[in-house]
Order: sequence, then structure tokens, then C-alpha cells
Amino acid sequence: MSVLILAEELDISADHMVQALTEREVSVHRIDLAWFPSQLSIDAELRGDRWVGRLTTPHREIELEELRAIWYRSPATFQFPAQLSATDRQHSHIEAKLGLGGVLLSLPVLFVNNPSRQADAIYKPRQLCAAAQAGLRVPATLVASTKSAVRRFVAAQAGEVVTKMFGSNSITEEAGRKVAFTRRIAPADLADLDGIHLTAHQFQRMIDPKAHDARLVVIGDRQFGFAIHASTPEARLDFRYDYSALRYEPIDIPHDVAQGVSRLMSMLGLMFAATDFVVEPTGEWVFIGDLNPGGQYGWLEAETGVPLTACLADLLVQGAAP
Amino acid sequence: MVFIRSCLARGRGAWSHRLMTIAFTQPTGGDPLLPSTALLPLDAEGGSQTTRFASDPVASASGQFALCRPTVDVPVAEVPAETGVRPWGLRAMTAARPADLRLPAFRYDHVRQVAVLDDGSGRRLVDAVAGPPTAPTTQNVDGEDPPSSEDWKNDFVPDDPCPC
Repeated sequence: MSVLILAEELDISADHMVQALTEREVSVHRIDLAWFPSQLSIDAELRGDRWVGRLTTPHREIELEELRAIWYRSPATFQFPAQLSATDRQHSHIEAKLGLGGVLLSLPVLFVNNPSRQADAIYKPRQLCAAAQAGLRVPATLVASTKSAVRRFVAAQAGEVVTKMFGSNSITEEAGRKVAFTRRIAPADLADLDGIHLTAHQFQRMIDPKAHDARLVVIGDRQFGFAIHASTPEARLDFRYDYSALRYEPIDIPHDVAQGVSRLMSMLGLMFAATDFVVEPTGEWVFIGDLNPGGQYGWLEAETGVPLTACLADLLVQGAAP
Repeated sequence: MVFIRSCLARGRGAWSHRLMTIAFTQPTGGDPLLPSTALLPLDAEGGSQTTRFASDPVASASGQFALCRPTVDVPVAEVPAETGVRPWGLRAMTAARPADLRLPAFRYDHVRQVAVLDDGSGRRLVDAVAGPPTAPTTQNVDGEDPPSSEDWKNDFVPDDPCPC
């Protein structure tokens, strides 16, 4: 019985997981799909209703029928020989994805997470809908590409409004990386919305007053809450702005929030996620539409000592149990 | 051209959709509209890919639904478009701050299945870096900013156009 970790070669959390699984005397295999096809090969044969065979690297053979759990951490994509033409590489990529990826997806194992569910879950508008349906509080939110919609939405809110990205908050431009964080909408913004029509933008009622941020890490049926206290105005608005201004502490999760998150995870088909909330001074938790099915947790574990790696390892071991 | 206006009323759990199809007028002297895929150069692997979903090694084909931002090999000297012809949401972009910590040279140890220092000592990378793997101790070596990094790596966003 073994666990397969799919992760890049540089992944500190995966390093810790290898150790945790080894300590639990579970056979663990770690591969990066970027090794395919140069350092990783597949030999899988359909027998009855399942694939049997192996994945092979220069250093190990991974019997598919031995696998009981797969931690889909965040592997890099396939890397093909440079001498292939662009057409050849595209063909090879698609065949590898549908072939190797298809075999992995059809294995009767515990996926943490199933990559398809993970990909489906990253749409924030979908997260907000699902969270509301699951009973979580969500802020009024607008997705729009017209100036009139933005002005209407902002005017309708009792308090301030923020804007933030649906996806990554960084771009590469002018020979460097640029970032943008959640920010308040000022009157000057509303006066000049040129470019709003070029794509979809997200606006959300700002949760104010705010006691602190909270990240809730879900691992199987267990949930871990962390208060994130920021000491600067910028970090209070978006804690990613300055990690040096943050302080963390484990906190209890209100029962209704825990239940709602459980329902949300079930609706999205996820076993693991890092979800972000704003906690009001009254103790009310508001889901702000940031559920990351591949979210980071290692830094919270390091800061607070909460054994997240061990919990995740136990979950994978359960999947690996005969 | 389709404008999308959707509003989520608090607690309702359903998007109120209003899709308006508006007659498209070609801007004077503007470039013709093209599918986003047509604007994309080949990616690092040589494939013309509209999203990182497509390059994800396992995610289902449904994950290629083109709602996410396109993966584009951006020339490092790319300059921002003028106001009005660039997405409004990009106006607040500012230069990322340099990383607080650079990792030492490392290699992947296929036997131990962890990263180790590339100095012959065999010491694990996780043991060699002082302090806990806090968010500011980013793994990036290309000027990546700490704010967008957590625990050595960004949160995994399948459609992150600039995965680190």
C-alpha cells in the first residue's frame, strides 16, 4: 500500500510530507509530472475494470495497484524534448495529459484533491454561490464589465467597496513583476473607469468593521482555524501585502461556519482547501470568496505549531489503508 | 460583443444574471477582434494554450473552459497599454518588492525524495534554511515578491498566468 505525491522538486511542504509519511511507515512515492517523458514512463494495462502496471523513473517503480492515495500537491506540467516541433509538442502534451493523466484519474484511490475538482473550484463566483448555498455569509459582490454597473453597485452599498482579482494578483511587465492587492474604491476611481469594459472585474462590499482575517484550513473532515492579525492598514485590507506585519493564532471555528464549510467542501468535491474569512467584531465570520483548493498551510503550521502536515499525512494514510 | 453584469445579493446564493448582447461597433482604426487563442504565442512547451488548465497535466478537459486568464509568454520588456485600452483592474499594479531571502543552491535527491543542498553535504533544504518556512522566506530567485508568496510557493491557482 503506498501514497503517491505529485509535486514539483522544490516544494518544502512536500518535503515535510515525505518525512511524515515515512515516519508512519507508509510507502511513499514522490514524482513531478515534469519528469515525463524524459525521467518518467508509464506502462499501464486495462485488466477488468482497472488499470494495472507501473510508473517508472530511473530511481523507482511505482505499481499502480499498490496506490491507495494521491496527494495532488501542484506538479509541473510535462516537459518534452526541445527538438520537437511546436506541433509535435502540442500533440505530445495532449496525448500525455489524456493518457497518463487519464490513467491517474481513473485509479481507485483517495485524491487530495482530485485535480479536476480542484480546477473547477477555483472560479470565485462559483465559490460565492456555493458558499451561500452552504449557509455561509458572503458579502454583496459584483462581476461587471460596464461602468454603469460598477457605479450602481457602489452606490447601493451602505459602506465601502473593494476590488480584487479573480485569479493571480501578479503580472510580468516592464522587465519585472508587478502585484496588486485588494483595494478600496475611491470616488476618483468611479470617475475614471476607463478600461472596465476590457474584461470582467470583481467588486465586493468591504467587511467593516473587521476584527481580523481568518484562514480556515480543511483537511478531510477536520478544520483548523487561524486568526490573522495585521498591524498595518495595508495588511488589514489584504494580509498578503506584508507578512511581516502579521501575527497568527489558532482560533475556534463557530459551529455554523464549520458546518457550512463542510457542506461547501462536499459541494465542490474537495478534500483539502484553505479558505479565507473576515471576522467581524461580533464574532461573525464572512466568507470573502477566497477558497483555494491548493492553498498553502506550511507557514501557518510553522507560526502556530498546529500539526497540519501530520493531519494531512493521516488522511493520506487512511486512504492507503488496506 | 457580450457584456456581463452579474450581481450576487448577500445570502441569496444565486447570481442574478443579465446578459446583454450589444451590437458591436468596430472602433475606428482599431484592430479586428480575434479569439483570445489567436492572440497567444506558443508557450514554453511549444503548445498554443489558452489557459494553464490546458497545460495542467491531469485536470480534466472541462477545465479548459476559457474563463480564466490566458497564459501568455510575456516579453520581459512588455510595457503597459495606455489607460483606457488596458483592463481597469491593472491600474493599481505596482512593482513587487524583492524577496527577503534567497534559497541556497539545491538539488532534488531522488532517493530521499526531498530537496538537498547542492554542496555535497546531503543536508536537507528544510533543515538548512534558518527559521520556519514563513511566508516572507520566499523560494523565488527571480525577484519574486514576498507578498504574493506563502510558505515558499504561491497558493496554487490553476490559472495563474505566472506560476512561480
